[in-house]
Amino acid sequence: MNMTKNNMKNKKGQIEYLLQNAFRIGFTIIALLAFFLLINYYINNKIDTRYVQAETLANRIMLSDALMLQERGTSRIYTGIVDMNKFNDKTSLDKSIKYEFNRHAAAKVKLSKKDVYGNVNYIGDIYLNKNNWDNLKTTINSGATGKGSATMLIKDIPVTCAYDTDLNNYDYCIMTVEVIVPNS
Amino acid sequence: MNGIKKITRNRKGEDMLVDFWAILAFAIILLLFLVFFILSKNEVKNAELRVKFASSDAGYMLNSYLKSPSLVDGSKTNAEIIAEDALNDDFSRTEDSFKKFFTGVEKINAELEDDYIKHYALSNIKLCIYDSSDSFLAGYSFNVKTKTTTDLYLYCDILGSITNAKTMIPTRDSFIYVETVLFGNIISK
Repeated sequence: MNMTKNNMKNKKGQIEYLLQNAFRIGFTIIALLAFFLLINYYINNKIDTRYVQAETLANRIMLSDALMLQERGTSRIYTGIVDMNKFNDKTSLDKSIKYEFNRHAAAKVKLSKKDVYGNVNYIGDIYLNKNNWDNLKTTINSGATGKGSATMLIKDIPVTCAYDTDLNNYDYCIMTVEVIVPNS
Repeated sequence: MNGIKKITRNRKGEDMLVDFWAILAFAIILLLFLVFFILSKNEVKNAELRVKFASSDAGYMLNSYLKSPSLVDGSKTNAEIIAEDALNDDFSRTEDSFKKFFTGVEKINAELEDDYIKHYALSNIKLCIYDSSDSFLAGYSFNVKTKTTTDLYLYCDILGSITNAKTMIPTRDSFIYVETVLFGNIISK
């Protein structure tokens, strides 16, 4: 302590003192910076919900009676069995998943069938919110990223296509569910 | 300059050497933490979500398969065919129905491959059947890429994935477990 006091009395002493402590001061600054940097990293103040939004909408289409077969008497829904009467009515999705306000997310459900020769034949498609689908699909095709662009989720699931409600006339199909959620 | 020489020569200089190694160790630890945070922050959460939703897809596929009328015998569902096969101890009809139901996915995947950027693709669908005491009865795997179906006499338990779904089918005497295991899902950004 006495040595430090002596050193501080003249210029040479002050320089020595500064040199001795320069690393310590720098180290403290780095430690403080690192501390706040790590805290900032750890606090999650931004949540990316696009994937959850897309999955929720896809599951709503797949699990609801929007397209799936429903037993008349019990209202039981047969998930995984597509009612082709609903599918062929191109407004089924818009009627079933209805919002009062302008919906941003859009979806497309496509059905394909594999024939005995192993070829996959396209059966048809149905849209939810087709206007938005056309707009958002254009941004995806253009490869745009960031705000104003969109994120797409695709699932393909083997299902049964039922042409009547009693399941007398049916086929095995592949259902492709595509959902687009805007990046905002 | 003379001042620095003096410092490094005396006892204070030794202290500074200790400080130097401490700073170096701190910098390395800091770097490791930064790398760890950058890698883990969002990806872990997204990966957890993907696994959860992929498991729901596996459940949907299993449900869809079991409820669908069998192409082997149109008056019965695939679940009934499996239950009957378990009683007869011959799963040939189950294998046939599995092949007929799940093939076709490969064509759709191939088509999507050209159109979209995939994070990971559906690569394998497995069906595993166990008896009430959880012993393996039969298992089939459909490889989307090689388009082949294989028996899983050995690998059903070993290759168990977290993206799976399991349900129970009642039989005449007891019940059996049926499990679907998915590898992959298609996500585009």
